Amino acid sequence: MAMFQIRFHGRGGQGVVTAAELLSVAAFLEGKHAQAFPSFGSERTGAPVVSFCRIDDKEIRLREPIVDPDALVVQDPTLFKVIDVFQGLKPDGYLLINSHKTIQQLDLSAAAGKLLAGHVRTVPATELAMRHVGRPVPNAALLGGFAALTGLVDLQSVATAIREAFPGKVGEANVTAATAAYELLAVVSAAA
Amino acid sequence: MLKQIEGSHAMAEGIALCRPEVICAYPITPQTHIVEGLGEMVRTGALANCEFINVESEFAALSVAIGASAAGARAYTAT
Repeated sequence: MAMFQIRFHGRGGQGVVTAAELLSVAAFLEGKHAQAFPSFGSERTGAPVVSFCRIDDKEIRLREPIVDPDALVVQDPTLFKVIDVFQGLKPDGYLLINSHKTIQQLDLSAAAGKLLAGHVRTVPATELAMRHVGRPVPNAALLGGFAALTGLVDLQSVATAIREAFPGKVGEANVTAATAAYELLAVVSAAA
Repeated sequence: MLKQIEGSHAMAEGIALCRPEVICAYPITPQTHIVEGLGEMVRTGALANCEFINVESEFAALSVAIGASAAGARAYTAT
């Protein structure tokens, strides 16, 4: 496997940093090398936040921010109007957006059309988090969706990473949200 | 056994293996998680025979580290 680089976009308080960390642990559990770190911006609720995750079969020596990602995970679709989220995304890259709307309804058809069919999905991660966790923190659900969309990590590894970071009820609720998102996207993929 | 952990906590583990007897801290980014990890180890007893001292400034941290060292103790600070 060549190195796979994921960039997470969100806002302070949405668990963007944790999402990248959990994904790195999930990959590590599968015997891969992985790293995760945030970009240091203003640390306050609501501010745009970026975090990064690299996954490879061999040791990762890179330490710099990801400028040419293989995948984007967008935790807040309002960011498309604020910053250039797509910057550097590879033509065969993946795009996962937290929204109950479709790509067309988000007015992203042009940008998404440049990517491969089946590489672009939306998932209502905030709604799933509210239903299963009771808080609007969409990161766990998005990781479940990411596993279904890319097949890069197993849902089982994501679930283990979540349980390790959040033992007890909170972890189980987030695993439920991740599983729900996974099934939602896995079914859509199978139908398409 | 390999384990995936935060860099600052990996540092704390490495420092603990050096068996410090005095750790003083005036925490602020980017060293907070190093001394948080060490403070946790002192509290649980995972790092035994070590005194963790909260100080009120960078100057005080260095004073404690030098004082402890002068008295013959192995001292550490991330401040």
